[in-house]
Amino acid sequence: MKAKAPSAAAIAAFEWRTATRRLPFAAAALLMGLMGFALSATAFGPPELLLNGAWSVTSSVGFLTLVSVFAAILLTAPVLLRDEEHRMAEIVYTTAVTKRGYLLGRFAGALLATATAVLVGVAGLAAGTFLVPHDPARLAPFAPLPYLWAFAVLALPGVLLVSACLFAVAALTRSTPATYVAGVLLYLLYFVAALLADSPLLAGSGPQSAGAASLAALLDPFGLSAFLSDTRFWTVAERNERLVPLAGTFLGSRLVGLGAAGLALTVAYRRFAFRLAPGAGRVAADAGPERSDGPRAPSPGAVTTTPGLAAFGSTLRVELRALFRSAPLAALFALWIGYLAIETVQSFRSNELGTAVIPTAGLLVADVATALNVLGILFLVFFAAETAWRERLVRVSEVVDATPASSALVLLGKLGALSAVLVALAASGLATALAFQAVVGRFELAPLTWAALLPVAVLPLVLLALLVLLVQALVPNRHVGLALSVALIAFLHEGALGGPDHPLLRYAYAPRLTWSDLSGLSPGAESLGWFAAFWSAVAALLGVVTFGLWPRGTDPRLAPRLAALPRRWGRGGRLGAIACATLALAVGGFAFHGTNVANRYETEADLLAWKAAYERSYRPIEARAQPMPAHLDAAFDLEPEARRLRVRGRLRLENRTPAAIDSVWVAARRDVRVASMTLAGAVPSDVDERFATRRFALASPMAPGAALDLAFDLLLERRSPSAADDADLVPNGTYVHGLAALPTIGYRRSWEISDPAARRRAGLPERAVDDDPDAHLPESPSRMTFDVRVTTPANQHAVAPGALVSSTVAGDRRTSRFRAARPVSAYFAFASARYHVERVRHVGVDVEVYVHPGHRRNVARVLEAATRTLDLCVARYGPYPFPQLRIAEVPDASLRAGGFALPGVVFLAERRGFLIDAEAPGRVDLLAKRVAHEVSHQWWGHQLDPASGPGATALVESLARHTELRVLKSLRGAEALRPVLDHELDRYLTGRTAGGEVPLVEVGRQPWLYYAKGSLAMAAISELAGEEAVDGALGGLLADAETTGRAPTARDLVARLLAATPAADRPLVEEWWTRSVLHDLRITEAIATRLPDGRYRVDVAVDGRTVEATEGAEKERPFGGDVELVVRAARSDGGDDEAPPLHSARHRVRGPARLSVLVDGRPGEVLLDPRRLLLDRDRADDARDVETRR
Amino acid sequence: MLSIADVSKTYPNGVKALRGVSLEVGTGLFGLLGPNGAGKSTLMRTLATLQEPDSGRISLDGADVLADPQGLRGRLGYHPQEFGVYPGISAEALLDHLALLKGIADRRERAAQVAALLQRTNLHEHRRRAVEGFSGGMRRRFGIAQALLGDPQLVIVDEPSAGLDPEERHRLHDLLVEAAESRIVLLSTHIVEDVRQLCARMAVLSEGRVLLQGKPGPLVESLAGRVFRKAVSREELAACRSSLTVLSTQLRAGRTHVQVLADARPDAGFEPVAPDLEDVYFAALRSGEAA
Repeated sequence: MKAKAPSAAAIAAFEWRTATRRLPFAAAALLMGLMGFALSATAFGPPELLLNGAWSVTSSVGFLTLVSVFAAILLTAPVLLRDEEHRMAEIVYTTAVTKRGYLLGRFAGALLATATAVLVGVAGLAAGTFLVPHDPARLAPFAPLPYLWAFAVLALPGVLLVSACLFAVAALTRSTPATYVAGVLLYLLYFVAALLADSPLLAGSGPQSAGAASLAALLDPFGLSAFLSDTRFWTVAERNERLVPLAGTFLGSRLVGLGAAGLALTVAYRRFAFRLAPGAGRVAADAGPERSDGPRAPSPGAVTTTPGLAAFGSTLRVELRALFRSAPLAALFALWIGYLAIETVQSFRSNELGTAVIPTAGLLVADVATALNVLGILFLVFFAAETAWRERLVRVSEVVDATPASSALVLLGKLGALSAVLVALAASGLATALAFQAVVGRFELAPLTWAALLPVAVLPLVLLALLVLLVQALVPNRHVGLALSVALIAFLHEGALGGPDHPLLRYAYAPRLTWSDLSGLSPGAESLGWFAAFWSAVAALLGVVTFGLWPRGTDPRLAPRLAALPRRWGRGGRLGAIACATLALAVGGFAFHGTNVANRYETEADLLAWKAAYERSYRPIEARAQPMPAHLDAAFDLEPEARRLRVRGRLRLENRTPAAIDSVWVAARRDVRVASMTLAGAVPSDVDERFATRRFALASPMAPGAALDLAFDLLLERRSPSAADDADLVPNGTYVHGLAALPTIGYRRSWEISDPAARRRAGLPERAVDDDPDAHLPESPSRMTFDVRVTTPANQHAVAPGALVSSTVAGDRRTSRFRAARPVSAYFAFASARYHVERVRHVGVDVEVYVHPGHRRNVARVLEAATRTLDLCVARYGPYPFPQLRIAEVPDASLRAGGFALPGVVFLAERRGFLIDAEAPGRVDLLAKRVAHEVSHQWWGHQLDPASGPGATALVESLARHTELRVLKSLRGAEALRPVLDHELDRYLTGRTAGGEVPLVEVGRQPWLYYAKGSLAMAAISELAGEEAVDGALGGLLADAETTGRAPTARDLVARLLAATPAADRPLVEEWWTRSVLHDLRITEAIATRLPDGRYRVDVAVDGRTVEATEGAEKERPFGGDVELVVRAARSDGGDDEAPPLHSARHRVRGPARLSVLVDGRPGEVLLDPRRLLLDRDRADDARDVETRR
Repeated sequence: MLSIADVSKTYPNGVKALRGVSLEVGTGLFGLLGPNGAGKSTLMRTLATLQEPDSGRISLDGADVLADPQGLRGRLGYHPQEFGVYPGISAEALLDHLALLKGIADRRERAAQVAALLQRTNLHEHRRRAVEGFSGGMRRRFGIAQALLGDPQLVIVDEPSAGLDPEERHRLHDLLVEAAESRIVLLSTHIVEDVRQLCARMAVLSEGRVLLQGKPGPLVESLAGRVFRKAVSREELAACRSSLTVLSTQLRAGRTHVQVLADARPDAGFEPVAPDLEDVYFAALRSGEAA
């Protein structure tokens, strides 16, 4: 009787039973379930969206799909590899099973198991919305459809592709590590695709390259990039309700994924054969001599000592050989270098607005460190498992375990080998970065900076390696150990999924590295040192535990090893454990003193609770009349090396209210030590330490118009180690905000919780966006004069607002005096560093640049942009009020913006300012743009101080954007504006999806409106009214404010713009400023017919829709209005952007329309609204080549 | 002297692998004979410090092995029943690595020992080849070589000759005999012939119990005059099994010859035969079954 081959279904059923009864399946399902639950328990996703809305659910399922690679590896790799690993291959391969049945059945079983694990994750996701109390405003009634849809269209195809790829690699290589690496490769592919799809180079630089971005999104094996790109401009309502349609890029990505999965399976099927893996059956013939009857070899001597360092060295060599000879590690290195090269190019050649950044050694090292953290963890999770199990996997463990070599040495050897690979990864990453640096011609020798990689990136990974080895020592199954390692690292190291937050609780914690050429690694370096010391001691203790519990022998159970721990340790181990524990306690104790006693330690939740309590306690005083600061007279004494700043002085307060004031509240920041504070010579009657607020009850009330002096002596000091080391006070490159050092009067709105969801959770009332006080300048309730002395070491220069009156050196201290004789914004900040200073005198102003000596390259450009802006603003808007204009470089980490303007001074960031590579060709001149923007704030914001309320931000920022565009155009020509406006359009469209719309005239704190839409509006109105007329209107607005003393509003601006615009175009000005209108115009057809008289008739089919948002609701209607149509001559006939068009006129269009024009030359291209007079969603379909018919 | 006293081991799945095993093993080759599943490998692994017994005492020259496994490992050579090797590493390099793990720190000393053992195991000319490519016999010899590294006092060899051709087996026996000249070599096997050829002392282990121990010669003598043989039919064989202690059956020219243990000749059909070690082994197993 011939045996019948088993069917694929029967094999799949067997696989399913086998897989689901094993520990890895339980681990994978548990991991996925917990992950899903944690995602919704922690309210993953944008706060403005419904937690169980379609978009949130889909993006969470996408995240789960990413994580499912781990599940897929656990469940897919063994289905093919276990036959050989468990030496069943000979039996299985010689059965009657067919290749098709075997492969298909096993794959189906693995796929089913993985998909089930992911489904458990989706169930966890849904359960999280029920089982954890959530903000009711973020939950809709439960509907299963979004979950099932996301599972079906996002998760399932992803799982299929991942499983197919892993299966194919397993079938072709028969190697577990190679299969792991294939999983890592899929991740890297995702990162690369996401990077490209989201990169400003492709997506951000405008509609022309949207195609390239969606091409990149197709590469993403998980479909997340395609999902994000297709839903990019969806509004909040759409995101909550619409299921992602199987169309467009998303459908494409699903099809590409299915195709790739099919291809992988086909290749696996074609190449798989029922043969043992190469090497497994290879047996050498023994050509040895016949029985040796000759003289016997000498008997081995008996010199046996306790195996020491030599055993460590030999284990290290064996492990290194195994690791470095393995093809998977070679593949990992190749991927790492490839990934880092792409990442580096992205980071330095496609920065903000597609600009380039000069890659300094410090910036490169910081980027390599960040990338290495991710890759290093992936490497450890997979390769440490192999390393830990090596002896058991190759079945030499019984021989090795029976030798007298101490487990400690074996463990050290393994740790050493893993560390060596980590160092090699760091070194190869650094080499890649340096190669890039050399290619762009910026190579610099900076070995000390390079060496920072070791403590910053490599050491935490080495400590994690020890953790992973411990896990593998404890868990009797290496796949389960792998899953557990992932979970532990995510929870305990990254602090994700509700893990700990405190640096002394997060295993192998290292503060996030920020690099500044001014201040180097500081302030983090010292804290980093302490945390590294603490965690090294803890890791050493773990190491002692690991070697004590290291599996030795054939008993897989943990309990006997635990019971025998003291004996296994011996005296040395016990002493080591005590020493490590003592060291950890001592260093940890010191570090704890630093984080929690010398500094304040506060979790995000603590801070929110504090803010809510502050608002509840002090909101009532906001209604109380309070005096205003009128004059500041203060001495700032900076000791940068000690990271200490003492501020002594007086703040003159005036009662500008019509009522008498009997109590004055003064707040200082909580990290400021108040040595003394008196008001009119009196000490405070209450001191509220918790809220750092002092109440002065005045003996006699302060009459309207009266003034009092607040005298203070304050100390600001930064001490390491600290959980959140502030970057403001550093040995070189100090930048201190006024609020950090100076007392404020009355209620402090900036201490309120601003996030609406967090406010709801805290039970606080909603806060209207437009009633945000710090929308354009933080806490600037009034204007004041000041006279400030800043004392620094003689080798540093201080830069502060106002006029620099004097700068004198006495001994090793320099004192600079800054004064504002006329009232300016009551906000203060200063910087101090060892600066290189350059100045030019221009239109009576000393334009000075204070820059890091290594960053002089761009000084000439900064001066050019600053002087050009001065020219324009002085000519059009009014005089500049100070003798100097100072532009000073400060570290990005403390500035937290590209630039910041105060009266008479502009602070410009390093990376986002002075390190912009302005020589890189074909890019937006971001440096000039940024300098022009900040310099123009000397008018918009510092001279034109708008009335607080709706639209105030537009008066400051939209006008600065306008000036910026004018300067950019005068420096680089009109063509330079096009990519800038493309970026603004993209920013507006993206911003409105989350934040919604209000008309510009009512804008509050919505940067996508006051910056982005504001730019587009001012550019369009400049086209409609002419630049001269617009500038005239702005100058008039400023002059009017000066003479009347009345703070202008956005309505005043709109009135002036309307007056400057021809009557016919005024509705468009109103549409831009007082309505929220978004068009979508397109040319659907353009056909030219040659007429007998030699002319051409061009028939253009256009269509348009218009969306208008009113009161939060959107209404769509067919477009109706005038739109400009331009016909250009064919390029072969000399038609280009410079040549006058064949036709240019505005046409009335209502809904779908056909326009017909007669032109004299052969038409090449038609353009709709080329001057961007309308706000059009998609500009790619506004241009079309003309089809010519005879 | 290796002393094993009352060692018992029950696995978590309930299998009682060792039940109060006691043995005294001195210098020379000691054979531990037993059928598959008798507990030999459990005893071997326990002696090799790879697992711990539930109860009992083990000492080598008075030193407590269970309290200080590390102490024994320094004097131990172990050849597991099955073992693998690191891929891609030559015999010489692997021996060198294991020698280091055994604490032979001196480079010259190590090189000398490795070379001598490679010579002795006839692997010298294959020393540069990867062990994973060795044939079964070569691999077994390699296993002996690594076990002898560091001149151990106690060598434990688990089922060394299973699956070897006669010539390889012979080579292996020579190696073992030579190794046992100055040390304790504990050999576990299920092949009676191995013990007959090699061992001065032996024990029979079955179902976790020591059924018998002593010197092969006297043990064989103790059966003199008590072993009988008869050619029987299939029905007669069944009758024999029910009424007599059947030691073994053998097919000779298509007829079944049954060999029994009895104090007197059971019936006229039986003829007395001279006992051999195999009879001792089977007699011990039968007595174990009866117990």
